[in-house]
Order: sequence, then structure tokens, then C-alpha cells
Amino acid sequence: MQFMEDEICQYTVDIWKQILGLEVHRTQEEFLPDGSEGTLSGCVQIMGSWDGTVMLTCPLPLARKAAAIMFGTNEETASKDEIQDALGELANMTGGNIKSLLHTPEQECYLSLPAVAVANQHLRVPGSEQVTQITFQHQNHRFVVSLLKKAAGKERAK
Amino acid sequence: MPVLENELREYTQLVWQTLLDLEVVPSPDDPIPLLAKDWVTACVQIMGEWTGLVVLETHPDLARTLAGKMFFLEPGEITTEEIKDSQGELINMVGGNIKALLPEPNYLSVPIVALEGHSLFFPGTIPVTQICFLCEEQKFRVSLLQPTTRSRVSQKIQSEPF
Repeated sequence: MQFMEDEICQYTVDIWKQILGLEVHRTQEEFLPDGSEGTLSGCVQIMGSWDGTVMLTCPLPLARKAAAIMFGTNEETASKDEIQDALGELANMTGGNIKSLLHTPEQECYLSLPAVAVANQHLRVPGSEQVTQITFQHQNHRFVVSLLKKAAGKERAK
Repeated sequence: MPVLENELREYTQLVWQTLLDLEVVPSPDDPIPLLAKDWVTACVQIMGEWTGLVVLETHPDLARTLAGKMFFLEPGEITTEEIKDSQGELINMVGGNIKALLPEPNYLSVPIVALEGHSLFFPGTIPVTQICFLCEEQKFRVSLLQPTTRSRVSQKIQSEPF
């Protein structure tokens, strides 16, 4: 069992259903980015009693679909800014739910602003190690939600 | 008015000097489009009483040079791993110094780095300070970004429940 595996599955299914009205389910199939269609990664970082990164990586057509639903436009006319906003918001909602489980009475956790990368691979997070990776499927699209934890001994500037 | 402009300039020069033994000077012109494509982009975030991002954008050739200096490698020995780690470490050190000036409590994120021509965007933020530098006759830029209002999609979700 990966770290917070069940929680990430539940939150992802709920967010995509409630915010987008889309059914997604976990799959054991691998997400292999197709260089021809482009891939986006949205991430937020959690800081405080637990330090790490929540990353959502999905193909451009699925991000475009999510943006069209969020902004009430057509997939064909969804702008680059709207697509980035939509993916950032999905990462933000996923990260916000995970953060709420990680803070302690002694120390709060903070959630960063979202960052979005247009990439054909995952964003790089130096000094972190992946602790959870789950692939989801919506129709013929796959996407990945990953959790990366700051590696032990990687304490940097204070 | 730019935020922490003097501090950002001084800390950048200090980090390049102490870590890489390189002199950097502010460049009077700023021809780099914001978060220019094909440049290496690294950032850390500061969250707490003050919220914002510290972003480093580096020409790919300079990023390779800096990695070689940091890890004592010849040009042919440098991989994307070294470029990723060196960019992350540089922005972490600049961001760590900026963080120390800000009211507590605040937290510094781990760095994230976009390589290989990937573009990195920060929805819902605007640059409040941007300083372009010259190093080894090539440009890089250090910026502070702060959140504007909530993102457009947050506002839409708030006003039009799905």
C-alpha cells in the first residue's frame, strides 16, 4: 500500500465528479505520455509538519476538456490560460484535501500556489522522492496523481 | 514599486559568488519574455505570513555552464540531472535568504524545475520584481511573483456551483 493511496483515490474520484461531472476510475494500466498530443503537469506543494508535492499529470486533450467544463466554453476554444488555470485548480483541490489530513495540532501545513508545466515528462522536484503514484482513467484518457515527499537529509535553507 | 529589489539582487550576486565563484552583474535590458519557452525555469515558494514565489529563468547554455561549475564537470559530462540539481540548489539558496527577511512563520518549499524546453506557469500570480543579470556573457533572470486575486476558475466555482 502506497502512502495515502486510498485517500488520493477517493479525493480524485470525488473532485472530478463534483467539479467536472466526469467519471474517473483507477486503472492498473500505465500512463505513457504521447509526444504528439502534449502533456501538462500541475502541482502544489505542502509545507509544514509534512513537506512534499502533489502532482497531477494529464494529456492536453483531457486538460482541455476539464477547462472547457470549468469555464463553460468549447474544448476547441478553451484558451491556454484557461487550460493552465483548470489544471492548477484541480491540483490545488487535490492538494488541499491531502493537506487537511497531514497537519498536526502542533504545526499547521501550508499549501503553495499551483504551478503548471507544459511538458512531455513529469516536472522535476529535486530533493524529493515519489511515495505514491496512481493512474486514473476517464474514457480513453489516462492521467496520474503523484505524491512526492521531501527526502530525508534534504533539509535546505531555513 | 518592486518588492525586495535590492535584496534580491544582492543575494543573487552573493550566491553566485560564494557557490560558483562567478561574478554576475545586473543587465540594463530585459529582453526575456516572462517565463520564456526553452529556458530552464526553477522556483521555490514561500508560504506563511508572506506568500510568493522566487523564480529563476536561465538560458539553457548558461544552465549547463552553472551545473558544470557546481559539480566540477566538463561540458561533455553534464546530464539533465546535474542541471536540475544545480538550478534547484541555486533558487533554493536565493529563496532561503529572501525567506529569512520575511515575517514568521513562513515556510520554504522544495524547488521545482522545468527542463528541456518545458514551460512553467503560475496561474493567479503576477511578477512584482524582475531583475535580469549577465553571467559569463549570458542572461538569466530572477523574479518575485505574488498572488493576485483568486484564480478565475476559483471565482467561477464560487459563483456558479457545479
